[in-house]
Amino acid sequence: MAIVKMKRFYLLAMQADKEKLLKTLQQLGSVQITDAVEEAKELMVETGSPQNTDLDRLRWAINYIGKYSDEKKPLFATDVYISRTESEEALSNASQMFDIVKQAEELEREFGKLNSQKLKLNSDKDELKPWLAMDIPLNSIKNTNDTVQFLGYIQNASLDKLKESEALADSLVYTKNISVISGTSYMLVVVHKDDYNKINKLFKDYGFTNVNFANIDTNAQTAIEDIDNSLAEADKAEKDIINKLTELSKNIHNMQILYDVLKLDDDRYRAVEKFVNTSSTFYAKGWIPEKSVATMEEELKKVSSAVSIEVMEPEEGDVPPVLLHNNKFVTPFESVVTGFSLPSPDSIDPSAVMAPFFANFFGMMLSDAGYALIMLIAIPIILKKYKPKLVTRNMLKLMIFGAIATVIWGALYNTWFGFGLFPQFALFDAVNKPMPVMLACVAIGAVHLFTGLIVAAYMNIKNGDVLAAVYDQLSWALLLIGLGLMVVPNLSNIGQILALVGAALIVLFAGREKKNFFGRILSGFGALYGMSSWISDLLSYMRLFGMGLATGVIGMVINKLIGTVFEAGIIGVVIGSVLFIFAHIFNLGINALGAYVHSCRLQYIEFFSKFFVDGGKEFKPLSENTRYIKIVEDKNLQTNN
Amino acid sequence: MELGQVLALLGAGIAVIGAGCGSSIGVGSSGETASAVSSENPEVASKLLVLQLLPATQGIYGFLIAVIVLIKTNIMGGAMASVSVMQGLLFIAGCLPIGIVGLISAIYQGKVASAAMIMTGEHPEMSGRGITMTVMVETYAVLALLTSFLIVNSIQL
Repeated sequence: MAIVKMKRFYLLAMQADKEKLLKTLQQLGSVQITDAVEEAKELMVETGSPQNTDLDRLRWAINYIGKYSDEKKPLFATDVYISRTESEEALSNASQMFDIVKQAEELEREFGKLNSQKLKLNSDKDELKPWLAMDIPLNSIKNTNDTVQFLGYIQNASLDKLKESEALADSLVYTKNISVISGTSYMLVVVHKDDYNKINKLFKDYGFTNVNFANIDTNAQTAIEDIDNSLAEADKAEKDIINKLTELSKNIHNMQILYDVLKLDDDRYRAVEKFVNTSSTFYAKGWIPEKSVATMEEELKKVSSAVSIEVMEPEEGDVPPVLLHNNKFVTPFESVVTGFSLPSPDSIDPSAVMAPFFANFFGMMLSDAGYALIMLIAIPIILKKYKPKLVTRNMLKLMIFGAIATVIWGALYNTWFGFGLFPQFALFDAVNKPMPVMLACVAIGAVHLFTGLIVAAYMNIKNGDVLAAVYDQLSWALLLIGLGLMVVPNLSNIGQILALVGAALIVLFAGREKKNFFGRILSGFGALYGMSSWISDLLSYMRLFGMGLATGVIGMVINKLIGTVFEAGIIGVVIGSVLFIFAHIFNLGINALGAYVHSCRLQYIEFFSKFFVDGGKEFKPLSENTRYIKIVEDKNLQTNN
Repeated sequence: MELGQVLALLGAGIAVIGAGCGSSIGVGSSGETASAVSSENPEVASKLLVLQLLPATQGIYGFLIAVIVLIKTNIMGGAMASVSVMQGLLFIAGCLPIGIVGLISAIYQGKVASAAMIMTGEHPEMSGRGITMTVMVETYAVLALLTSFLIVNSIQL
């Protein structure tokens, strides 16, 4: 249970040392810089820190080129280590890298142009298709001395109505259908020029649309062939661009290193913006974990003797950021807590209390010892072989703890890859005798909820409010234990007394903040109604049984179905074996996911609601917070961790 | 074939149809959101897959109950056991909870999953909360699964 204790940090030093000091702080990564500007606005002089807009361009180029990289992506993203000297060298080829960025930007523009060109060509082609039957140059449809000729299309339904109209009957007009495509007629119209205005208006009224091919001096067939040629050319140009991008993508690693080096610079500029800068000195303010203070002072004094560092307890009302720190067994469980919210700085970190429950719930829900053994073999191999990033590593470690619990629970349920292989370990028979399993689930749930109450009581006592622990937690414990004992034959009297004492405490003291006596008793009864939420909380643990049952029964069904496949001779055995592996991997995957999310839920909703105070702000130190690479002093030291 | 046997199989059908339709709708609609969100923010794609999978479980629950019915009636063994009309009705009663609750909860879970995906796209660090909100809906499917299981399991042929 550890929220790291934070101290206030104040630094006053010379402008001349600023860059060096900042670099040291960034490498230490233990100080979060907060805004000091408000404290001494009147002293400020403008220092004008350069903003790096090139970073965004570089990032864009890395993403864009990356899409065309033919390099294989690894199964798990791993950390790439770069030594400090290598990172400094990266700056020297910056101009070359930005040249690549420029090329990428140009290629993207060309790509866009080609795309819109292709779009235009395709729509031209669609426009020409209806006129294939008209084997004359399309621009030869033009007016003569006495007639006007034009092309166009109209909905068939409108055309029928148009043909019946009287105005058409007494005009000098000739129409010829060239083609009919999906309910639309494409036609040539020839009309005497005296009737043109009348006919034109009439046609428009019926929804006739003119098309104009004045600049196409071939027939439709040839025009379409021309377009096809242009399209082929565009496709070829597109392939060229893609090849160029793939070629550029060979530089992607160097671009990533450069990005990270520039980003570190940018992070420092942003920190400087929070400083109070005078012409010769600067003043910075921040947070530092208590245990890092000594190292930080030592390192900064090494850089310059002209620094004044002060480290103090935070003032009243000054809310420190939250950093969790636990031993290596509990650390993987922190992600479960942070997935919900960081605890408020004056409450406690529930990771350690939660860990055994989380692992066991996971085990009860996955509940197949065979699957767990597979996980216990596969995960360490993945950790060793791929060295995934920290977040993935912690998640996999969490799965190891879950898998260990799953072996135990799977053995108790006697489920091994859906088979009942070892009845000698079996304690439960979920399918034929579900009652004992359900009782066990509720009992474990009760232990979980009571642990939550105990943590809440501990927090109250730690804050010096012993009475609150009695009124808010002990009272509920008495009531619930009492109710539980009332069911046991010989202890029902004691149970009754405990329950009554508990209930009385709740009714009398739950509303103790209210001045008015009746109001107080009324809110006391209101609190007693919270009983219903305890019942629904307890029932919620039935999911431990439900999810466990799902894994076991689906495994059983898989085996039964594949058993029938096996009977079909040698081919059946081959197909059946492949099916067996894939079906069980699917079952493992979907149930491991279910076990994980439901374990999380039981912590968040049932457990945390008893004591958790959220609202902590994450501790974000100025550090070498890089995106693609990790900078280390010595690369060789990083190969084994 | 006896009427009771037909009723028992009808029950198995109800469980699979109801829960399966629900999951299809839920996974389908959340999948649309997933593709939209991950096209804007490809880095969260794997988190979105987790969310998309959550409404899929109802279909599995329904299938599970159906299989228990099929095992009980020994239709998978080849010779279907004799089922009285009353027992057949009991099978239907047992399959209704997961059939109906599975249908409705998966649809709503899909909606919550979609919303959680949009949230995850904008605030990747909040994916944990999104998953929790989505799992809230699942509770009722799990309760229905349990009820269905207890009823079907209690039928003595």
